[in-house]
Amino acid sequence: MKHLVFALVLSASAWGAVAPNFRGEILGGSTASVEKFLQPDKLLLVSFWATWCLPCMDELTHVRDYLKAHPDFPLTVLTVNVDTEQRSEVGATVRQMDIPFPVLMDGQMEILRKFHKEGSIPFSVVLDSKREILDRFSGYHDSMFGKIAEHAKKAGLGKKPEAPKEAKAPTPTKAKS
Amino acid sequence: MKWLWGFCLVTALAHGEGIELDVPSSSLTVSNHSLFTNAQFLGEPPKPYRFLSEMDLRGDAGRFTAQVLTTHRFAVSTNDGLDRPVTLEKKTLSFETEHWKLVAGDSHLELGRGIALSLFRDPVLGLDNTLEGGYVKFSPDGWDAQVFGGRALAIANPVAINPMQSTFVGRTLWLAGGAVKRKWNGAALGGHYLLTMNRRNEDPDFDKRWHTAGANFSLEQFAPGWDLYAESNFLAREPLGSTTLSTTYGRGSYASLIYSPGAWKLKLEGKDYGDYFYDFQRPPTLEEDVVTTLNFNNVTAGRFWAERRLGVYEMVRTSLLFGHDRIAHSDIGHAVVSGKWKLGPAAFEARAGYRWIAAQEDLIHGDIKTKLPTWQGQAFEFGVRKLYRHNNFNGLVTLDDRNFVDFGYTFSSHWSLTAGYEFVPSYPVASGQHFANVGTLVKYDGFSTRASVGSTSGGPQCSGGICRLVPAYSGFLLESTLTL
Repeated sequence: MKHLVFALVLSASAWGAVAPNFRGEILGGSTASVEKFLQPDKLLLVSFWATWCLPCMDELTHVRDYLKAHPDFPLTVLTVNVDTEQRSEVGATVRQMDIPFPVLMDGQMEILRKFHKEGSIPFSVVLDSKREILDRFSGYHDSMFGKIAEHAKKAGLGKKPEAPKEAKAPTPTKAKS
Repeated sequence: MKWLWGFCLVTALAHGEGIELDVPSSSLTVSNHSLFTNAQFLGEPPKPYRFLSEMDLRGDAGRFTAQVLTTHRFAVSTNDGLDRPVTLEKKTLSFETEHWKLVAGDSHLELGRGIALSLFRDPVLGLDNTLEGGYVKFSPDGWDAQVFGGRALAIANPVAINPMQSTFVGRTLWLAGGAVKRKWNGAALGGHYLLTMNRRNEDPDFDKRWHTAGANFSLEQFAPGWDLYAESNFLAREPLGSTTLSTTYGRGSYASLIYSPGAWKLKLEGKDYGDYFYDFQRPPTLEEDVVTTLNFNNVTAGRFWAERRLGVYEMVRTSLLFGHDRIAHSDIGHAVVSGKWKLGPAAFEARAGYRWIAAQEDLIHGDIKTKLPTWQGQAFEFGVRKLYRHNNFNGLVTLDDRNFVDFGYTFSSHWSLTAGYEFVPSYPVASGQHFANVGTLVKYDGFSTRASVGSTSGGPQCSGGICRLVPAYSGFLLESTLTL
């Protein structure tokens, strides 16, 4: 046990909060790793969702609308779908909700649990171009845009956009597997 | 311990190495999920406070990943004889490139949609089933091929109040198989084969052998808005050794056709499971809306599902399932209507359903939830749920009547309070019909903790198509998750 604690402390102090790498099948057939979506001049929001999770739909549609309204916002989005039972309808939901972001399939929730042991969704992480974790959001709360803007400003990316006016409370939902 | 040192070595070796420019090649993730509780099932003697914990260490170093999962169990207030300070549950070393993935150790695994095989993790049920062995996946352009072999391994000490009994207990299960898939222009055609060998732990020899062969086919956007998926499996159960039993056969198929023009989503699904008796699967049930599920061994059913988006938030949805349950020897049906809408700042969700097994069971379920934002990101939440089930099994009539009321207040994105009341008039008065609990949730960055005290009525609990009855329990519970 002492060795375990020692190894943990040593390793944690040496590494900082670099996100684990992950790879998976993109909706539509190709395979890609997270590094494909990292850009030097933008942050990356990795958003975990499922077709049955209504708060997740809120998050994705708000992010979609926010980025449409703020095209200079230095953020790209990668969504990770964790559906188990309803995988057939992921593509249909993406079309129905007009979600313009790539979707990585994670039916076994292995990617989700690399970031979030609890396994609840909505859950999002913000990564910089070096794959460092800048923030995590458990449940959807639109204060996330303000926080992301602060991280962008600290990193010297883009202009600080306005935070959205509508306030929404977080709505965590337990992921079923 | 060898695995731990191997893990440290791999991460240390990679610390100074950079495979990709700019992007660090190494990371370490530490996750802990713990439960501190004295929860006891009603009618049972008091239980001691106990601490259950699961530690997940994961290191990424270039193309290598090493993962170790340990569990820890202590009785705090008195020794219940079940202490297990450290149990090494899972260990994995994997190597991944653009086209290859090689895994030694434990891996979750699923073939198709989980009819043929599903080794998965579900913390709600306390399940974490893996294949302990080797797994190789090769994905050149337009192809996916995988082979695997090893022993099925369940988690020994799940961090759950009432973990589900693993189907692996008392037996040793060896698996070997492979799958191949060809993908082109939104279409995919795949096939898989699985050999399962079963040995009871008290026996020296294998007593059963299963052969599973299956094929699946998918078409995405084969016409504007149209998606298709179809899968079929064939199972042969072969008794081994000196037995008079003969080989039996089963079939398992699932298909879905989806049409999603604009704001509409229409889906037609079907399942046909005939004598498909295999314990290590998680097939589509078509009944994720309901609090209990059909058998998925011997049943045929179809479901029509329609959803209409009315705005960013608003939508209405309906589904109708109809089929025949060959274990209950009866027709089955399930109709569900749900919606989501806003009235001023308040958001509402409602769902109601009726499920029947002809002449045997009538089940009515409904729930409504509302969320009213108050000020500066705070919100009040209120929910009501009802379940009423009338069973008539060979003249033996039973009732299950459950009523739930939930309140919650969210103070910020980091803190919320909850309170719940449950009234179960179908329980005997002596064992209690009223249950109340309060709780709080605090979360910040990679840390979340939930504390609750009181009692809950238990009842059917389903997750991912697997259901079981949870007994009522009471006590204190502190559940924490930390990810660094």
